Amino acid sequence: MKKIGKFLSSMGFAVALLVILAAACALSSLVEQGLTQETYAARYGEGIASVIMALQVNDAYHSVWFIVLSGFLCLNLILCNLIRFPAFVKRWRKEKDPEAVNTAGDLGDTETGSPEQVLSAMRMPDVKRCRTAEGREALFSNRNAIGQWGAWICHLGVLLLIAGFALGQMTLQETVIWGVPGDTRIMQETGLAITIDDFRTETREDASVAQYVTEITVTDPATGKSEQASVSVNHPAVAGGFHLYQNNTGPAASASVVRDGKEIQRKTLLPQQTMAESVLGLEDQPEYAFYFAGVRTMREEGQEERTLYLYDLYRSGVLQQGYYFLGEGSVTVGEDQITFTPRTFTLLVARKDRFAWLALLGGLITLAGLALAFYLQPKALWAVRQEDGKWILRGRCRKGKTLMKEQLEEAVRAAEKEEKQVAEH
Amino acid sequence: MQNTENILFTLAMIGYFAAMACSFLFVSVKKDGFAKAGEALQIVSLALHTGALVLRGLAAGRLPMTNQYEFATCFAWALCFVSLVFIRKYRFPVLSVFAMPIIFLIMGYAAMQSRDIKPLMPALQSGWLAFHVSTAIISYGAFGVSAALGAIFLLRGRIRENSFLDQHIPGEAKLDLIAYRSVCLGLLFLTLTILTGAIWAERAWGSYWSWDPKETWSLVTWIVYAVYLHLRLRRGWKGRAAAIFAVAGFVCVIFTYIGVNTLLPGIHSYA
Repeated sequence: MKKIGKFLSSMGFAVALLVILAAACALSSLVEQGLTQETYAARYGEGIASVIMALQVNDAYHSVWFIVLSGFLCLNLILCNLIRFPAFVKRWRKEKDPEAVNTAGDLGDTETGSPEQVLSAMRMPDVKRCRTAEGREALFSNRNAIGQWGAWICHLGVLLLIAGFALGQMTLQETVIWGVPGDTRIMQETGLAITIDDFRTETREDASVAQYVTEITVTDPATGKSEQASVSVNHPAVAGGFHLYQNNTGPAASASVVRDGKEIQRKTLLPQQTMAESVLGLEDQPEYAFYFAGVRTMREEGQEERTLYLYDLYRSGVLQQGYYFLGEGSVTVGEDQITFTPRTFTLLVARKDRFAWLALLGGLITLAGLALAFYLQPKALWAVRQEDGKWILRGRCRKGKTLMKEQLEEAVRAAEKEEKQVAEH
Repeated sequence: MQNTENILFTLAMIGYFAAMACSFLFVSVKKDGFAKAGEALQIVSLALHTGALVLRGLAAGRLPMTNQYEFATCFAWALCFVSLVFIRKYRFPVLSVFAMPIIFLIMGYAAMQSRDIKPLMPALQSGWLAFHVSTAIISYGAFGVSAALGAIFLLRGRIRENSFLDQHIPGEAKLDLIAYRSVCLGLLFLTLTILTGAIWAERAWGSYWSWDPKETWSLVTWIVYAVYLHLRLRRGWKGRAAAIFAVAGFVCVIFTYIGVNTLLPGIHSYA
């Protein structure tokens, strides 16, 4: 059991997991996600399509094996941080302990006549006076002891980030609200009624799109309270704990049936709705049903490009005819006049991720951990007085001893030079 | 204004080429004067390059970091800036022998892209754009420098004893440490890039992580460098192994930058 725990918390296991996860992510990014086996077969052949489906590469990031790998990574991070915590505390205390003056350090010995000056030049002015075990006078200074917590904090951050992301995915509530101005949709999750008051595409002088803006009114049927909001790209609105994002737009249409001068039926036709959704299987099927088959562009010689709107018209569940119009168009069926009007739909995505804050916190902690680990590297310097009155400088720096040794030598030379100048004066 | 920007860009490119030539002459003719001339040319070219970027930013009315041309030219700028910092900080002129060709190639790639200034699409109109892209540029620049240092390390081992190179190239331990520090800088800024990108994506697309190929490859790059750091600690993968890793990691960076855009469709298609 102890052996298993040791293995699961080991750095070797962590590296193996990271390599496998990186390879899995890289390979999965080469395969378009979420397609059907038929589509993969058409692209890569039957054999590869079967492998893709069998290994769940079609939805790799939600597959069982990917979740298991991520789970093991979390377990490794938890165990590693728990097991290593006492060692970190011990090392942190040791970093600040002047007992180091009894050790040889890892920078070698450097002789100097003015240790305080050197320590100051090394930006270590906080000097403690002490004695070695042999009773020799010694000076000790350290800095950036906190930096040794960097790796631990970074691991904690990654763990929180993965936990926040996983919990967010598990509890995510998402729905789409789409329609044309005038439509009202009920958000099942909250019971709120969202009315699309207006949708506009703001353009610049060069006809490029500057912004997509949907004006909405959010009504709580329980209280009857209404609130207006504006949703645009990069500026989501909040309703009932959900964030509403401007997600898409495109051509839609509305159909209106007029009998004896009175509108008896009206419907918004959205392009992504399937034939079944639009026309079939409805118990309370109204007399007329419509299917919006989308738009096609056409260009005749010497003319500008024009957009055709295609519709199918059903009466009492039976297909009457297909129609296409350039812009608005009307047809007469018996005594009824049916008018098709081109519209533009807006699609809002409503999401509620309860754990996004945890993922963000994890990200920030990871960043802080990396900054600590990389830029606050613990350093310690000490000087021990020799019998001849000279001082021997020693020190330690786990990750940058080559540079620290160079800096130390430079500081010693500078101190010697200054000493010489003072003596000459 | 765009005309002046083009002139400055071309002059900067010529300057980078001249700096590259000087650095090659420095190691082949072995005269320190070429190193100084190369460094001076690099600084002048960087100033011209900065001028071109400022003019483009003024003409566009925004930070010039939104399309392939702008990102490439900023990437080259950052690589030049970071390499200059490392050259001066560690007194290491030979670094430019390896950094300048990368800078010149990226400038060449930028020159092949469309330089039209187009207004921003709605998703890009965000204050996060500046943070997200500038951190990515610094990160890529730092990884570029670490790859150059890795290449120097690998070549150093192949060159027979040469007093001139010994004098101008730091010892293996120091070279390894500088490359490590460069990776640290890159990884810190890559983390910042992913984080700012996630916050921005949440506001623009409604989801802070969508497994888009660009996001996925940024994560892959992050993991590759995280593995580099772990292996240094665990197996003492320093020196040669770390140098190979630094070069391989940069291949990953280049794929994230260019490969993903050209080979894999995704919502980052403009980047």
